[in-house]
Order: sequence, then structure tokens, then C-alpha cells
Amino acid sequence: MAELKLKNIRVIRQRFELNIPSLSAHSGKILGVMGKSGCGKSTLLQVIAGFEKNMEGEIFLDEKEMTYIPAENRKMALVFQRPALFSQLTVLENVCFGLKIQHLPKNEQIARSLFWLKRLGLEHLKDFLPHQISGGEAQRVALARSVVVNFPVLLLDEPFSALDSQSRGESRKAVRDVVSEMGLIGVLVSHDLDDIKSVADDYCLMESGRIVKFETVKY
Amino acid sequence: MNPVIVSLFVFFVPVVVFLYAPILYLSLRALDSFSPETLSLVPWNVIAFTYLQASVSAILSLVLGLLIALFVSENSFWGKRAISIFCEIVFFIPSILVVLSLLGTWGVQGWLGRTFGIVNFLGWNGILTGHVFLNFSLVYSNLLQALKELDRTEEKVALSLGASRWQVFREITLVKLKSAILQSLLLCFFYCSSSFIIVLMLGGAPRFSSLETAIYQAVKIDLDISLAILLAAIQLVVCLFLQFLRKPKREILMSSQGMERQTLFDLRSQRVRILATLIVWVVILGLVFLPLTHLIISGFSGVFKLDWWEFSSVLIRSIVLSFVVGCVATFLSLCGSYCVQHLNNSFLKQAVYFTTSLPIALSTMVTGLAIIVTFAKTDWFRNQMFGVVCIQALSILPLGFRILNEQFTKIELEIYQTAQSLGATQWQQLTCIEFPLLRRAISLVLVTGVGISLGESSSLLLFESQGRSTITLLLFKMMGKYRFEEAFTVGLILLILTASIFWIREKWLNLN
Repeated sequence: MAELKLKNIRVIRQRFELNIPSLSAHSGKILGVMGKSGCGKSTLLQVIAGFEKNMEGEIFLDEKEMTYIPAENRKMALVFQRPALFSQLTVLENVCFGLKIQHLPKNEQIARSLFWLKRLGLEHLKDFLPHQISGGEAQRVALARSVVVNFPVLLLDEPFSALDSQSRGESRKAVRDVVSEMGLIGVLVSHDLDDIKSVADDYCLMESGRIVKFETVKY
Repeated sequence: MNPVIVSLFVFFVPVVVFLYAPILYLSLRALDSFSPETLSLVPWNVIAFTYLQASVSAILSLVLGLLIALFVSENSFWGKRAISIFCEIVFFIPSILVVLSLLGTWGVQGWLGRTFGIVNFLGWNGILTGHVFLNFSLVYSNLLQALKELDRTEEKVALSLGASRWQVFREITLVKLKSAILQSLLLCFFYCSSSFIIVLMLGGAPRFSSLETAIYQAVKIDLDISLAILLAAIQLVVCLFLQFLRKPKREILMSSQGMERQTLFDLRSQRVRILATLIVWVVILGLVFLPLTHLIISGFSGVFKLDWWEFSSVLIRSIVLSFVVGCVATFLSLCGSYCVQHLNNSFLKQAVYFTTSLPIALSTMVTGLAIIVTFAKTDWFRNQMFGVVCIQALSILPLGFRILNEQFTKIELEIYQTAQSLGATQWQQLTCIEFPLLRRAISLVLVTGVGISLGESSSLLLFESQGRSTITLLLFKMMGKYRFEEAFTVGLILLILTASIFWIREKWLNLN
């Protein structure tokens, strides 16, 4: 069972100091990180993903230290609040992007991408451009793009905040199913307790850069 | 009477009389004189040179400005703040001072020119150096701003999917910056193709001549107005076409909320970063710092050679002229922006927007010639400063309008509605509410106008008359007579004046 471990993480910001002595997440499960705006939860995600340069502490993935490995080599896919689809690429090309980076043969790129688009109910949108699809559909395309690459870690930064209630329900289910079926390590950041309770297995509550509570979600 | 109607009248009457009518008249005269015989007189080599040097200058400025903007935005290095300051101050240096400082440094008799054995700085070398000096900072400022405003979410996603930084930069960042890069390139091309002083003084004419200098020669030396009109018509068509292409489209996404900006393309190897820092410093030293330093030092050494009595009258005349230009430009900008704020008619609003952007598309020689041919026989024209005030005020109008329009849009609707509910008339709203809120912006436009006018030389050369000199004209004459020691002193004073004015402007902008 793969594990993502954080030890003695410290980041100093103007408004707060992120201070996480220890935190871990396991494969096939989603760890929720909840808190008000400005408490440091997105900063924590940035630290895990490798975008935060001025940090102290250590990050391990399956006992391998990741602290000094650059973001592009960490194999941790990111899904943001804004889908951030590449506007000049079609839906299919967006999903194929990560596989193209891995230099997979073209037909394999298309086959794997179409599998995930179909799995998430988006196959009919494959030739559309990002501005031609809805917010909920775009968010699921972003999810497909992040899981098709088979990275062990999936990081989600408020992925449901901009969605309406129906899209939100569909996206939550998609995230839960994907993480569980593929055995990914999921970390979900949200300020919404409903998001956390519907998707996460465990969650921690953050305040002013620190974890003040850790709980298992009871369904 | 309704203040909107008054503003509309006050704005459009001078603009129609001194801009639209002359340009239309010039175009009609050009069409009238158009024939195979007149076409054969057109110096096509001059036209070709104009746009060739503009293309090369624009590309060089773009490459230099882009590379420095990328390096500065993504890396921390020694002297970063100083490099940023040098790149920004260049923007405010008058063209004639650029010529003076470059000649004094890199010219055949310049101290670096002699050290490196430069045989001939005039011609392509001089023109390209002068244009890059002035325009790379424009590219730098535009692209630095674009990079700061860029939402980096797509880049982060791409990196998290395993793309290399070069792939991300090429396929995502450059694509997002495409619009800003193209706009900067077009703007540089426009400035370089309509550049006058740089080509006139660093081109080593007549061998290297552009459309602007050819128009000037036709008007002032050959007295061939027909040829001047034809050349101006060609320049007008090209500039209007460039302006059409250049329609600003700001598609840059705002950076993500609350997060400190993260660098994604910083140079990781310390050796490479040190080397890049050295290269940037060498370029900025050679292009900006050393020429300006030479100007300042040489300026002090010529202090005792200058005829201070003559200079003080020239200085006073320059300041008065600049103040008049600043006032006219500010008044026009205020009327235009007031119209846009309060007009309900969208056609008239668009007409104001179009009018305030039109001067950007017109070079000094084209506008100047249009005014000359239209008003040559009138009484107004006897006072040659009238033409100068027209051209300079019109050239400042786009910037002044933009500053004031931006401030007007910040005044909330509730403010107007509250004033109306308390019985205030439109005139009372203008004097008691809008004017106090806009006071700082109005002062900013005035100060900017004065600063731009002080350093402007093209219109003054075109409308020059005997015995009425300004600082830039005096500088031009001194350089023409090889009185460089005095020229450096006058140049230093002009530099101090324009730098002070723009320092005040920057302070005000930061306070906003």
C-alpha cells in the first residue's frame, strides 16, 4: 500500500506560517484538507506538488524522498478549481497531453484518453474546444487528463467550488470512483464540509497554517 | 446648457478642425496629384529602407526586451532592481538625448567608439542601436506586466503531468503571451517606421533616409510640397493599417487569488544564472548606463562654455510651450473622457474612442504636413508655435484620455444616484463630485504632457522659425555645429527636467 508522508513542513508567508509536523495519505483513499480561505490549505498542496520553493521539511512517497525533486518529475497530477484546460487544444488533445509528454504511441494515447472520456461520460465532447463545453464538463475533462497518466498521487485544489449542484454531484462521484479503482493517493482541499464528507475518507481541519483536528469521515 | 453637450462640442470642434480636416485635405491632395509621372518621382528605395530598418529594429527590440523581461520576472539575481529601473527610465528619455548619448559613447569620437576602434557608427549601426535603445524598454515593460498578470494554473498542470519546462514554456506560456508579443512587435514597428530624429541624426543622410526624413527634406529643403504630400499619403496608409492590426486585445487571465506569484522558469544552475546576469548587465551597461553616464559627466564639463543668458530664455520658452501643450492636451482628454462617461449614444462614444486612438496611428511629419498644407495661408499659421501645440497636444491625447477614462469608470453609479437624489445638477456633479475625485488624475495628465512636450523635437524642427528656439532645437543646432561640449550641458539639463517630471509622475501613480 503506497503512502504519501509529510514531515516537519514549514512555509513562512506574510499572513501566516504553515506548520505541519506530520501528515500522511494512503493509496485508494482520499485525504481531505479543510479550512477557511487563507488558512494555508492551498499552500500545503503547492508544497506537495513541488511549486513552493521556500519551504522546510521533507516529503516522502513510498519511502522515497521527493523534497528536492522538481514538480515535473514528481508524478503528482493536479486538478484546480479552474479546470485550466489548454484553450488551443480539443478535449481529446487535452486528455492526451500527459501521454504525449511520455512519448507514448499516438494510437495508445487516443485509446487510453477515449477510455477515460467514456468512463466519465464525456466521449461525445472529444472534438470540442474548452470554451464550447460547460464548467462541470470541463472539470471532468481536467480530471480525465490527470488520471490518464497513471501517476500515483492526485491532488485536487477546490475542484468543485465553481460548479453547480448537479455537476458537483457528478464530479464528486467521479473523483471518488477514480481514486478507489486506480488505487491513487488522493488529497482534496476544500472549504466546503459537504465536499469533504462526500469524497474524503479522512480529513484534517486547518487554521492559521496548522492542523487543529484530524478525523475519519463517518458515512 | 448640458455639460455633456458642451464637452462634446469642445472636444470635437478642435479635433475636427485640426486633425480630421487636415488629414482629409492631405489625402484629397494626394489623390489629386496621383499619376504615373508623380509615382516615378517617389523614392522607392527610401520606402523600402524605412520598413526594412523598422522590421529589423522591431525584431531586435522584441528579442532583447522579451529575454530581459523573462529573466527579470523569473529569477532573483544581484542588481535586479537596478536593471528594472534602467529598463524603465529609458522609456522617458527624449530621442534627441538618445542620439547625443549614443554619439558621445559609441560614435567615432565617442570614448567607447575610440576604444573599440569603431570606424563608422552612422547608418545601420546607429539607427538600429538608437531604435533598440528606445524600444526594448517598451517591450520589456509590456511583457513584464503580461508575465506578472499571467495565471500560471495551466503551466502548473502541465508540469505536474510531466512536461519539461521548455515544453511548457513553448506550448503554453508563449501561446498565452502571443497577443502581448504581437502587440509589442507592431508598436515597435510603428515607432521605428515613424521615427524621425534617430534616422535624421544617426542615419548619416542622404545615404540612409526614411519616409519621415524624406518628407522633412521635401518640405524644408527642397520645398517640394507635392512630393511631401505623396510620401505622407504612403506613410498614412501604412500607419493606419498598422493601427488596425494593433487593436489592443487584452486576453491575459488575472493571476490566481491571494497566492504569491511563483516562478516556474527560473534558471536552476547557479553558473548559468551568473552567466545570464553578467550578459544582462553587459547589455544594459553598454546600451543604457554608460551612454547616460557619459552624458551626465560631459554635461558638467561643458558648464562654463554655455551661454547661460541665451539658454535661460530658451528654457523659459520651452517650459511655457510645454505647459501650454500640457494644458491643451489635458483639457481635450478631460472633455473626451467626460463625454464617454455620460453619453448614452453609442455611435458618439465610439467616435470619441476612435478619435482618441487615431493620433497613435499618425506620425509627426504626416500630421505636421497636413496642418501645413491646410492652414498655410491662414493668419493662425503666422504663429508657428500653433502647429507645434496642435501636433504635440494631439500626440498626448491618447495617453491622457486613457488615464482620465480609467478614473472616470471608477466612480460608482451609487455616487451619481445619491447626488441626483439630493438635487445636484449635472454641472454641480461635475464641479463638486467628479472634479475633486479626478484632481490627481488631471494633474498626472498635465505633468505627463509637459514631460513629453519638453523632449519632443520632430514637430519643432518641422515648424522651426528663425529666432524662436526651444531646448531640443538648441540641442539640434549645437550638435549640427559640433558644439558638443555645450550640447552635453544642455542635454544634461533636459535629462534632469524630464527625469524629474517622470519621477513625480511615478510617485503619483504609486500613490494611486
